[in-house]
Amino acid sequence: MFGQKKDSIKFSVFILGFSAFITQIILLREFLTVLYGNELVIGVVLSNWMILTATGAFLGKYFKRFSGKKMLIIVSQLLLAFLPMVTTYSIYYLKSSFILPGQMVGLYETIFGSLLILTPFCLLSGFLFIVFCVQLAGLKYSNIIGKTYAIEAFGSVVGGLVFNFILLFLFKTFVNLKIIMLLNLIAATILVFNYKKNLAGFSVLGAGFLMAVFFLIKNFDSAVIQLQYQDKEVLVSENTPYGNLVITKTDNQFNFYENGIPYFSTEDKINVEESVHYAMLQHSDPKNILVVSGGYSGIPAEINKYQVSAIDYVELNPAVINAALQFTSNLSMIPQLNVINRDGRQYIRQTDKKYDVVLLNIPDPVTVELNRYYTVEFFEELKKKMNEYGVVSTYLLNSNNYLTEEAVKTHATLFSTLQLIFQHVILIPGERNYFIASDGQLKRTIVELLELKNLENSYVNEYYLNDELIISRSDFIMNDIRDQVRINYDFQPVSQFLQLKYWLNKIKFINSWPLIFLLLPFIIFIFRANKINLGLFSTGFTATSLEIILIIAFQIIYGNVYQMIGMIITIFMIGLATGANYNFFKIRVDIKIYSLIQYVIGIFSILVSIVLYLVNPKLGSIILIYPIFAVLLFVSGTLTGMQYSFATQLLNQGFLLNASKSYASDLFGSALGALAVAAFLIPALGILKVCLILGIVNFIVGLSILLRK
Amino acid sequence: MVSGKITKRDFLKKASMCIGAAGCGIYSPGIFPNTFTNLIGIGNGHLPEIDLNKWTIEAKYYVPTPKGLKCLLCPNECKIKTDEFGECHTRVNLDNRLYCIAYGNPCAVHIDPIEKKPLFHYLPGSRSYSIATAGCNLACLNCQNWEISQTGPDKTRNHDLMPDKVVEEAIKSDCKSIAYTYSDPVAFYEYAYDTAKIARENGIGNVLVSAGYILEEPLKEWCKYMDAANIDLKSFSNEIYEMLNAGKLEPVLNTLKTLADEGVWLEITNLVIPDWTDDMDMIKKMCNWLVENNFENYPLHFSRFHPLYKLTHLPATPVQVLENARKIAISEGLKFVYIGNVPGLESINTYCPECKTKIIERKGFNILNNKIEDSKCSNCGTFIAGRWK
Repeated sequence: MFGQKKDSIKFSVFILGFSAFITQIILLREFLTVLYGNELVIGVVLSNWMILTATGAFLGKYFKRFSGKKMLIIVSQLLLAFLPMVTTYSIYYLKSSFILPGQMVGLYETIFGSLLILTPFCLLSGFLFIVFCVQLAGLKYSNIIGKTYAIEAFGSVVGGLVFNFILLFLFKTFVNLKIIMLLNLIAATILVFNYKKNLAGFSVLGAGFLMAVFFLIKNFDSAVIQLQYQDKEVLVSENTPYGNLVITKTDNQFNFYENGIPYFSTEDKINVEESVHYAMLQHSDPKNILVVSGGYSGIPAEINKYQVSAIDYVELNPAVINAALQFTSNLSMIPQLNVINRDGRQYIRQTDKKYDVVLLNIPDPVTVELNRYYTVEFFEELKKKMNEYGVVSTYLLNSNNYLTEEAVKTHATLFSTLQLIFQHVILIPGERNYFIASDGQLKRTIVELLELKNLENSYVNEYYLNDELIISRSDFIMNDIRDQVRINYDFQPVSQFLQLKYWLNKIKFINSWPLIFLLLPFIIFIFRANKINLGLFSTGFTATSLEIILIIAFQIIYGNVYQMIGMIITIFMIGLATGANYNFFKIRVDIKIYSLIQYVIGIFSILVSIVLYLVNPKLGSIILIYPIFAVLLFVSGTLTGMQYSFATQLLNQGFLLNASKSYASDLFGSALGALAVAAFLIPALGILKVCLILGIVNFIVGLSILLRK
Repeated sequence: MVSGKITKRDFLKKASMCIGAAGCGIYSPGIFPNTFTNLIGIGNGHLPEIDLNKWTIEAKYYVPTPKGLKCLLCPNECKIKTDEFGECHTRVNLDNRLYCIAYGNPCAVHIDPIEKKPLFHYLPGSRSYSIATAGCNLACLNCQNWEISQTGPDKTRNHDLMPDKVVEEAIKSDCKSIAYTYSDPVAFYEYAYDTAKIARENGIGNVLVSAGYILEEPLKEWCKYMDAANIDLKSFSNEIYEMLNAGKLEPVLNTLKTLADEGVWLEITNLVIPDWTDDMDMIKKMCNWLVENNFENYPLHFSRFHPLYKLTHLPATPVQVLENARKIAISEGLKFVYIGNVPGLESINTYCPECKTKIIERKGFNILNNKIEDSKCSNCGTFIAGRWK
């Protein structure tokens, strides 16, 4: 199979794409277990990844200066085997060394920490891509950069599919990374046999295999758990599609961590009782109850105090349910309970049932995915599934002693968004601030309502609560929020933007110079790049932005379904590989065509906004949603791949420089997309406006390609 | 509850001694940061835009030094240069005089049960009119009121509530005491002091809920008007104090001694945070110190931690850990040990240290049964320390 040298290089390129993509998914997941999980943090990590890879590709232009080129390639391939494991381990090592126990990691630490951690792997993978291009070109393999790009993209596609559908479910993080290590070792062996069949070659390979034995023997997964949880008794540590789930036991208490954050501990009666009774008490005869998320903390047993007919509990992650069944009695012994493993919003849209009380236990809207449960479109859908005078409850986590400006706005937004759909909305301040909405009458006099029912509660009772004080604290907040009318929409996630500002205030992010540091490479690039590379930059920027937008839109319109998100990325990558192999289309390349494609990308971006506007949830037809998203993603990927392939044909600066700069330009653009669009532009402007901006950016760049010399 | 709210704009309105803004430009590294800052709407930190107005009062404790004005209110002893703030966010050097900008402008005003402070041996079952301005001289990673403690009164939405008005409102709302709480009253020392003085004249009690991070002289002056205090003894390790709270242990221990010596009713809270302050040996040492220094009659509250502010990656304290801490405290000789933030426990009741009779039965913040008569156990006559009426 690898008898020819070009085949062995092609295999290495494939493994590079495969390894880099899986490593990227794994590292992002691992970063999320130690960092704060909002889009800004994800954007920073992804952006750093791409900037560093681009820098590695840029450094690839110095490859010709090396004397021992073949040995360098083999050593690099071997390093590619070990670096993913070293990088992943260093995330936890650095966190345990430099961050105080239990402390949230701030933005500065995120920016510089992720930059430091990712540098070796990303520089190497970017550098290797160029090196492989050069080697293939040296073998006189035609149309080489586009082809190499296509092979790498194909490697990524396979990597994405294999990881998302197989490896994730079978193995722990470091076992998967060991598989990557072995694949790279195979690639290195093939290279040695093709290029360096001498003592030096075999010595390096032997050293690589020896090191591999050490990595294979060491149980890094348990070492990492030890770093994170030290002397705690860890009962479960599981990588689920929806994130990392850990359960620890401290004395008699079980603690459930999702992505490193303790979401729930047993013995937490205050939150459980508050999230149930403030809403349930408002209904005269609640029979059918819906709980969206968080029910495993003991909510069904509290609901059961009302002698209800049915409790439907929707939870996205089945692993959480299994763990709750195994370690708590919170979900057992309640015959009326029906657990549904689905995306909450998707369930609400599709169910035929109607409910008297709906309890939403959703974390604050810090991401667009969570923001879906705080929008006017969601409440509209929810109301259709509620009986007359049904009651819904949701909450925000802020203190009730005082609300910051951002917290006031977040509260005001939720309040006025609920008011658009429900006739009555009240705010009950507790350990969290509860928003209760209904078309029926609502009361803040909880103690008075309690007197009508015969309930035995630990906290929500007349001994802890006092109606006069509840009303006084509720008024205290209402006075601040009642005049502010803001509405939170699916495609205009106002609440998410406010949460981002709240978080930045919380971590005292008052100096913006680190962001200048991050944006500086982009600014320099835009002013220094030639028109072809500027085109690639714009294409990379648009492609990443559209991919993010389409993932978000899919979650909003259809629901958060892990396998579907994996498919979205895969379809995009298939498009990318197809486009990069532009010979399929038999197009003759010139600057006008290149400019035209830039315009087409611009038009396509605007088209995406129109399609999303038309498809926007009310369509509801699942049969249509799949093909629409598949086509949008494939076209987006194809256009990106084509433009990359065209650019490498048009650049005439010498092969090495072409490969290096074109790959770097594409990645730089992608980095800006990951950082600016996901973190700031979507929350600040909304999805549809961002699509329009993408269109305009591409028109300007298209024009500039035609006009600039 | 309270009318006449003031805005930040009012607060910053013109006055004669505006030393004022050195200009945003000094703080801005370029045009982009400002654009970014505007986009995300975050301020540029403390700019000296403070004017003298009715919410500004000259600080009581400071001396000039060649390095700036040295604040002598708390152990931080900040040396504050012209136009700069102290670490508490409330004290600013304007024209070489130290001013406190937290006076008559609380941002949090609520009525709470006294048991919520927690104070279990001080006027049980009563309500406390609770106020706080922004600002704090510590920076605890787990602060539950970080929104107001880690900023200054120039950044918050405040009420206009001068000392006499506070007392008036407290009387009107049938509160037996005024609590200086939520952030840390040390940051609004002068405001709390003046209010306490008027409250005392009107028969209203004064309650400090504080970390006790204050120097002896201002504390003694405060004690003249304070009736009770709940001091948060955050740990019994100087190292933990520095890393978790940005403070030191010794000054807090001095505060406890001073309060007791000056006759202020004292209760102590110890928040048990997993991985930080849940070391039973340390808790034992702390209890031992308390007993050796004659604090055995003052209540100790072990409080349950919930993930807050920057300590979001730790779980809540297991109830068993709190129970263990309580057992240690009792075995070391402390007579009244309670567990807070956990509903439904028996350990919120008061038991006679001699005959073990349940002398105060509590449920939530309510008193179901009180068997203390003339500060004595009605069963065996043992003296029960506290301010019961």
